[in-house]
Amino acid sequence: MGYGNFLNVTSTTLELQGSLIGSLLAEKLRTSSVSLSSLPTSSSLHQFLSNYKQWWLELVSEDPVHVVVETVLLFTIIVVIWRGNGSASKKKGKFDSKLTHREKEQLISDWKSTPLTPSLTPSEKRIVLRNSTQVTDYNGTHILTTSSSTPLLNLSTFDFLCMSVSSTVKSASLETLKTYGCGSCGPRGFYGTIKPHLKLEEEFARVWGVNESIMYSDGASTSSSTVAAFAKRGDLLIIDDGICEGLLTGVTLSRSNVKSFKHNDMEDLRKVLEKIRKEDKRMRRNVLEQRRFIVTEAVYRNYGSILPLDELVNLKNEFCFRLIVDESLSFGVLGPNGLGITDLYNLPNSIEITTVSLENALGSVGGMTIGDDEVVDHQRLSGAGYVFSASAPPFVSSASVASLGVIEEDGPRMIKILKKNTASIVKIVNNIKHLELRSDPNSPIIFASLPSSNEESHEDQNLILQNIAEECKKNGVLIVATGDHVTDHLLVSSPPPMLRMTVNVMHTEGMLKEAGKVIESACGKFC
Amino acid sequence: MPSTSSLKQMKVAELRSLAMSTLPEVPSNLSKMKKADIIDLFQVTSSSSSSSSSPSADTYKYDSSEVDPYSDVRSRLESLAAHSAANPPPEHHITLFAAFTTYLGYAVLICVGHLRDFFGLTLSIGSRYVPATPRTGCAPLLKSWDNFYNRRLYHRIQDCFNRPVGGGEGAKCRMKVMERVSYDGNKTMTVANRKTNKNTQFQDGEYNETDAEGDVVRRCLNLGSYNYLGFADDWNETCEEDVLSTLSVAPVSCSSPRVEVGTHLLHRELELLVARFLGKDDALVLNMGFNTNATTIPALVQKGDLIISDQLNHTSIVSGARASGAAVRVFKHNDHHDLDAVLREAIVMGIPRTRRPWNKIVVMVEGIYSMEGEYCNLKNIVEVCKRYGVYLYLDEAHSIGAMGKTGRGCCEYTGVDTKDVDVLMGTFTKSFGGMGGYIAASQDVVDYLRTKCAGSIFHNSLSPIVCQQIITAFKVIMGEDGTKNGRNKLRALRDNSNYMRMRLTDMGLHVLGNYDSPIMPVLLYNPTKIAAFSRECFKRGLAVVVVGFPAVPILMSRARFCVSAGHTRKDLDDALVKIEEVADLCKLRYARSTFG
Repeated sequence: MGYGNFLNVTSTTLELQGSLIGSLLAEKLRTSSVSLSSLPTSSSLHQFLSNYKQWWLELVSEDPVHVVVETVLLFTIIVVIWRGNGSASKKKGKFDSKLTHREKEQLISDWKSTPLTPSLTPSEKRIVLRNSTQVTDYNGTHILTTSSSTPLLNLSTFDFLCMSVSSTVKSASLETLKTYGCGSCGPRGFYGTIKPHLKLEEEFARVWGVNESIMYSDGASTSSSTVAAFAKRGDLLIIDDGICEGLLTGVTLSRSNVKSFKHNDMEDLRKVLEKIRKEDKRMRRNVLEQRRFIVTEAVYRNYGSILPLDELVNLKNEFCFRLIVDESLSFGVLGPNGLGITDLYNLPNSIEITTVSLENALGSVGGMTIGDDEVVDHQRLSGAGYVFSASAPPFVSSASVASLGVIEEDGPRMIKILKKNTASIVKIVNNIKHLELRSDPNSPIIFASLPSSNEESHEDQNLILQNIAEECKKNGVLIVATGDHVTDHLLVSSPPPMLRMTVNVMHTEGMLKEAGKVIESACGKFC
Repeated sequence: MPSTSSLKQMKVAELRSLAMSTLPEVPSNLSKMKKADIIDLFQVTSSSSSSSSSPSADTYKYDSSEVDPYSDVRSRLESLAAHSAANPPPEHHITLFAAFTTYLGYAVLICVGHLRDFFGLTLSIGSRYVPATPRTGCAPLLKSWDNFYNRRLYHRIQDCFNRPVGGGEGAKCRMKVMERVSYDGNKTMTVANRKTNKNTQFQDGEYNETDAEGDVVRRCLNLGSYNYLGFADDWNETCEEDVLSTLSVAPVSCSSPRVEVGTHLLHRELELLVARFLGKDDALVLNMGFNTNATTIPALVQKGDLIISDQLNHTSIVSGARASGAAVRVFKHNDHHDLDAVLREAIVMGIPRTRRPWNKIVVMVEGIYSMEGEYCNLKNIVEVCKRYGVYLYLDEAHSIGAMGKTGRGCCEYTGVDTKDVDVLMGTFTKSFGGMGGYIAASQDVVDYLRTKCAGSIFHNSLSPIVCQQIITAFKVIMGEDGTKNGRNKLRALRDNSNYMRMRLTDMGLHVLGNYDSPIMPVLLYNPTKIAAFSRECFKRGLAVVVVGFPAVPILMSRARFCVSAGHTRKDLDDALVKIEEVADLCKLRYARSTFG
């Protein structure tokens, strides 16, 4: 199409439309063509144009719709080009040309940075003060610290099975240290994979009944790397609003869409899932395009509650979600054989992706992710903590293999002791009228807060609980008040200030009774 | 120090280019300047930087009682090191031929991959390449590209990565790498074992032997581990006693975060040692190097703050920055002029949209860039940071213990006072043969991080056994064990690195990085050469690291040599002969010929 053709298109079709502006424009165009024709030199051009006009008029009479559509398109193009240009030039003018060199210098010299870190709040000062106390000796039940002359009863580490001091684990570590030395001096990909690492991966896969598992060198980065390896921008994560920091970091790093449900509340989860299903229908989303995961913990680090796995499995099957469950505090702790939450509910292989920290019940260092071949293989290239971090020293893998062996052999007996000890602490807490049990009665991590009838502010409650913990420490019992350090996170709300007690297999009834008395008297003093 | 005298002998043309690239503000009429002026200009910069940046001669000098293994090449090594300290590393330009064949290589790989996928899906032949059946109603777990890249590109050369080490050796300089075989075209690898008869496809070679458990291993010279000071090699002499005696009294794991009951006496001892070593008020020690960055950065910076990060920073810094919610800008690798420009623009413009001023700005750089072998241009960067009053965060993962005349890292090497760097971060995995990481800073900052950083309040603390390993290693480096081991290690590391780099460069390879840095990447370019180089070296008893996309840009695939203090000159000479063979075989001498 030539230029003249364009002219004709506009003039004729505008005539046809007969709109006000259109006809004005058309008038102008027509007069211009008339004035062109009046020039003697352009007589042949005039001839040419009039022929074209004739041709177009015929076209219009034959197929008016075609012409209308074309006109609209043409106008749209013009409008788009004009507006696009306009906004671009505006932007340029707004930032660049306004500031002179001198003004820029002024701005730069005016700018003053805030301090690198703000000054500490009272609760942060308390943490620093407490942190100056160091552990000098530890035998499972008792801890000796630099600030007390007598051993303190340990109700605060996550060493449920006392593996970190067990002779089996230590002799396994010793053996490997002697043969392989300490550090691995490299990431797994680059000669940092040492035989004990392979052995551990093999053992975990065997216990889980899968082909492969993958080891990370740090417990917390296991969960964050795993979540971020699978969920990406555009995927959907449904999170429990009580999950711990490791998983939350993974969720943040994944940049997926995040929805949360009330802590451990399967009814609320159903509501959330149904809402998503409705939305899918309304927006005609293709569910096969978006990877969807439910992210939870088996035993919640910040609440001590236990995941109702049976209900959750039903829900995820019904709504087609995959499960990512952090078993860091449940492996070696739950189930008749101590093999975790799937053992407790007897639902083997119901979880697609499981992460386990080796630093708690297994008394070692590192973490594992267990899933099918696809899950494990993908992480060997995409798990940030696996690919970009040096592997753990080989001796900690041997230590984990040894503790895994102990759990397999002696698990049922140890679980019984753990249950009995849990029950005694739960009983103690229930008998103290100033405290209310907040954790699951079967969880060896016991959380207690001031009664829910207490109307004091969180800060005041926290102070009371901190004082109780300090008082207990003075009287030889080490428990943790979490209010100072377990605080707000961007994605979830912080738990209320609570006292945390953990039991392990070496505690005897007598020790726990003594501890009960100490805690009760401390509560009596401050409540 | 032969620097000035040897420099004077250099050609004028070379000096001119040196001066051009060294001087920050080169006068625009440089071409009209007299020869003598240029030499003067250059000497000013070189002498000012060499006085502070080059290590003092006595630390590295051999006593009359000691034998200098490099006495024949000593003067050349020193002058190359001095030259490198005063100049940016040489830039290698990829030849058109290499670029074309590299792209072609990837194109062929991708086409063939798609072809095989097509036949796998339609004809169900080659079933191992059919993607795993998705759960009904769920999206596939892996998106197509991830999956495709793994199956069609990575799996082809999988045997070059994740090679396990066995035979009772750790990351030692002479180690035993386990042989693996694959029965499904490299999709899965199994360890070759004599006892379980998994080795039907396996043929013994010159370097092979069978270990106690029946696994087939290959005796290799290790040119891949970050065992810079060789603590893996002489572990039994230097660290064993301390570590084993700690194992008998301390728990393997504390099973508790630092702020609860996870602070062992040894943690504190280590922290004080790190602080003293680096001249800072205090330090914080965490369980994992990666997490030290990934958890500290979110605690330091938040929304409303700005991170200005070097283009080539490690993933752990990127992870931390992403988790922090702060804005992130990137400046050109090691380029303080670009940093200056980015900083100016950031301060003038303020926070996007609201245009409020930034609360604080933190510049993040690394001491040695692990994939480039380059050390940080710290002096200039510190100067820029000071000029604008912004904070500097230095990640010394690879440089701590490996650089500087007493092993105090990049600050010492470049002559920067550690007080001028606000936050010093480093890891214990490399030079110290341990695990974990530290943050050293002023008392306020460390106290604040103790209470806010997830690594300190949520993650379980470092194993006391590993703490002991690091403490002992520190004592050796600092000479507090009463021997000269530490000094000898540092000297051997520097000499070995420089010798290796010199010989590799002489060979006509494209070697990246600076002298005095123990990491020397050699560019391979073509994707096929990644596997070829690694396999050919392995065949000859060399364990090398090769890196391809996506860890490095698609055109810049490379092999990376990491030298250790535990290597002897004979080790390196033997290795260099083999590398030369492989370089001829793979056509890698790009510095000599366009076609390699």
